Amino acid sequence: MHKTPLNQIHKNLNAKMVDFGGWEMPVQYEGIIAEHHATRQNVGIFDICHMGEFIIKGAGARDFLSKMLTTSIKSLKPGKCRYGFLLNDNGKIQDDLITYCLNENEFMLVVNAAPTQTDLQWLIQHQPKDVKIIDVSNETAKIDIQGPKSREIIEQVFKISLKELGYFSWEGIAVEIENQDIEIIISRTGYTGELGFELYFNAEASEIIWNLFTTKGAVPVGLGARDTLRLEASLPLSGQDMGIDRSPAEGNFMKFIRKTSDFIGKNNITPTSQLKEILIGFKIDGRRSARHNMKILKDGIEIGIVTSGSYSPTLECSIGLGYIDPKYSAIDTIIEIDTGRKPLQATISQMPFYSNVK
Amino acid sequence: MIPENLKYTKDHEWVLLDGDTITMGITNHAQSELGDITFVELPDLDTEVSKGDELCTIESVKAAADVFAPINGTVCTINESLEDEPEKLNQSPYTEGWICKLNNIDTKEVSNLMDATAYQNFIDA
Repeated sequence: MHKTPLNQIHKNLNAKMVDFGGWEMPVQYEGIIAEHHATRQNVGIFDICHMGEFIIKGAGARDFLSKMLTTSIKSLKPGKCRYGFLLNDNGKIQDDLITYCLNENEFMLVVNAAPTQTDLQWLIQHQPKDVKIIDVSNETAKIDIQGPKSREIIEQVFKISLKELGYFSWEGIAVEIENQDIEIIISRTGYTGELGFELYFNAEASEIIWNLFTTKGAVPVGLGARDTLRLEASLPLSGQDMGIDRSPAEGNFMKFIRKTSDFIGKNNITPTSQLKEILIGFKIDGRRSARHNMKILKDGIEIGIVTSGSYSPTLECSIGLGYIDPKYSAIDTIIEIDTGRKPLQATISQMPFYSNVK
Repeated sequence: MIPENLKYTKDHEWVLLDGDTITMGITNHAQSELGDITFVELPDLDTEVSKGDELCTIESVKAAADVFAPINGTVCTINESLEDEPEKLNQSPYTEGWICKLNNIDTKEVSNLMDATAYQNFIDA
């Protein structure tokens, strides 16, 4: 199993470790709910080193990425990053990713852990002569600092100001820590629905950086709370709430699909008017949860499927995401979840369930 | 620490014999494996159960687990406070986090369950 450079730190903290897409990762330290609240109320620190990073550079890099991604790349300037998708030829979602413009002709792609190699091979298959693709996943550490106190703690730790750093912007800093010069990309992005930052730097500095933040009070947060946080923010999980059986239109992700110029899969994206299912969010009155792959019913008839479900520590009720027949998708529609026992009554809700990113 | 005065099942339930009724719950090991418990579906009163029957369902943030009847009996009392405070199962699984009581039992069935030492060996194995 793959291990991140922080594996021993997690074990020293007695984290409960699980196999997550071939990576030995901490699912929780003190407890999912405590870690969830720490992120919402204070600041959490997350080991996200399992995610993949590629450098794409060369004279043709911008045109190449425009062809490969749904993201608007032409207008992406250094210091900015954008969310988007890698589609396959059939117009279905292979992965979601963030593209960072490092320089005019140099970009960093941040992709999910499980499909890293598939994504890389897909890019290499289409690689033109004037573009270099470098997989820097192993030597790149990624630590997320998320929560209302995240800006303050990063400013303290690195003695910098982040007041001017806007949402989906990044800046590079160079710091000397324990006689090491460390370059860090600080990106104002995250996967929690909270003010937050994602830090990229050389993997050798992982433990030093982690300890700088935890000694200042950042609370280690595992993948369990990462999942409840992102679900409250209605942020889809690649491979679960979206994937190669889903078109971006089904998930209402068309805002991440550029209208101008072609990219792979564009002509095969199912038009919104022809969708058989669309993504909805639902709340359950009570603490019992819907779970992945449970059927969604309306008056006893199957209309769709649950893709994510959990108890929401912030809302103190259960919430979930699923795909249903669009004709039942109006907000406040009552639906049922088939749990295999007593059906649960749920109400279709506005998404996100929670947001405090600004 | 595993309480010495209780008996245990391989499904990680504990049993306290008190005259002709038992009180039961889930062990510290079970709650620790489940993580933060968010919901308990309590059994219905007066339900007759056989050893091994599904008695109730416990959900944590990440998973759902069934609790089984440790012996034959009838559900005579349930811990209704768990409906609003399921976290009691995490905080004090052997005391405030008890789940229900059974009567109409055969006390011999209780003596056949594991004692604290046997249960410790079972979870260490």
